[in-house]
Amino acid sequence: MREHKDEWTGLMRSAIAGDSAAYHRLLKAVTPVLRAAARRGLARAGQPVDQSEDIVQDILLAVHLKRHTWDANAPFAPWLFAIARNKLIDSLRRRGRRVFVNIDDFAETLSGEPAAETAPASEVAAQLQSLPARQRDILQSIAVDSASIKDTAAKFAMSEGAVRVALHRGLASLTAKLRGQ
Amino acid sequence: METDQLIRTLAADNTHRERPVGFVLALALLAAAPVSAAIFFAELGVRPDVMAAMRNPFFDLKFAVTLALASSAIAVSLHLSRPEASLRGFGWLLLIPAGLLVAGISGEMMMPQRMPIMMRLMGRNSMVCLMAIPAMSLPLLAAALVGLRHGAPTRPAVTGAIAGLLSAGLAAMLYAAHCTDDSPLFVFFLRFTPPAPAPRRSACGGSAAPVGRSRAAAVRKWPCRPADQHGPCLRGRRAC
Repeated sequence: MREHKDEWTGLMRSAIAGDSAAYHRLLKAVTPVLRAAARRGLARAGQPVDQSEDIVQDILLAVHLKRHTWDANAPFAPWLFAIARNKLIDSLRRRGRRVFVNIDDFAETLSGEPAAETAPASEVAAQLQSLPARQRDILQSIAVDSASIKDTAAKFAMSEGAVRVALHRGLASLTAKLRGQ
Repeated sequence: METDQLIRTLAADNTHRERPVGFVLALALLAAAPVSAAIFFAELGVRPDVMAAMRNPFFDLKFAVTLALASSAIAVSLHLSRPEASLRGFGWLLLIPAGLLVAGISGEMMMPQRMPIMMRLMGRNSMVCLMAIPAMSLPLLAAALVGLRHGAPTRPAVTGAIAGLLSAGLAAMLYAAHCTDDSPLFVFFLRFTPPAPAPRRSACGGSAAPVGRSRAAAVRKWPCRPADQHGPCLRGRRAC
């Protein structure tokens, strides 16, 4: 448990320093933990647990866009769980339920078996369609076709910088739309 | 979109860097300061006997108290802009300005006085003060809220209240340069009346916010969602 969390903190430090591969590994590592907690939260609220993937993606987007608020001298896990807890509560509220979230849901989550991905998430995919065409194309190129920034730039005859800007704007407005729905 | 695909996309965006919250807050406050200063110079102006007043320690104390209030509120609000933050260990910072004021009041009480105590408490221009401080604090409050929304505060009511204290402290510091009431008793009056509505205003329905109280029951309800019980409340939205 402890080693896991220390490893996360180390990966996040590398990610902040610019190591995108470390960032990728970190997000992969935390996702099963977030998924398990989201399923527990949904089950407790009497909601079908197969919606957990939407919550996981919501949390991942928030982590990404707010990672500048993480203090590199502090452990990563409490920061992550604070965001995850709030996102879980937000999405349960959106589903119109009274919210009962156990504070401990996110405290000791590595003990159980990692939950497998259940139903595919639909909210991000739906909001993706409402983005401006250019942002949507770029997001899809990188997400679905797993093209690199460089390939995407070549495909759309854009500079790499412009692709990066459009990618970030797309992710930010995707998050704003998810929050506002 | 599959979660793995989303993760790949987020990793591709890792090169994008956001500015730290403190930097954005400082920029926003610097942008708002000229507006507040313009209100100050247009409506109030520095008191005429400012050179003589500077030799009065109680005149200087007004700046010390308001500066202490503003800077401790800045420190607390930056701390609260992190999602995992709690007020524990930081709330005592807000006692510094109060402590300074208490020391000042006790100091004044020990000196021979020419004015009756009510006169010193209410001051000669308390009505101006009641209007001027909230007016000058408004641009600063807006700036503070913009800056703090760049962070990820998970307790919008508390963070908004601290932003109110921050802006009121800065506005009161400006006002102190105009005001001829130097008694710490008046500063006490000034410190606790005009700034008081600011946190309430910015906390936006904070009275209905069950922050912290529900922890024991392991039930969490968050204050100030725009769509439900509190009506329109832009500032109350959590940023994360």
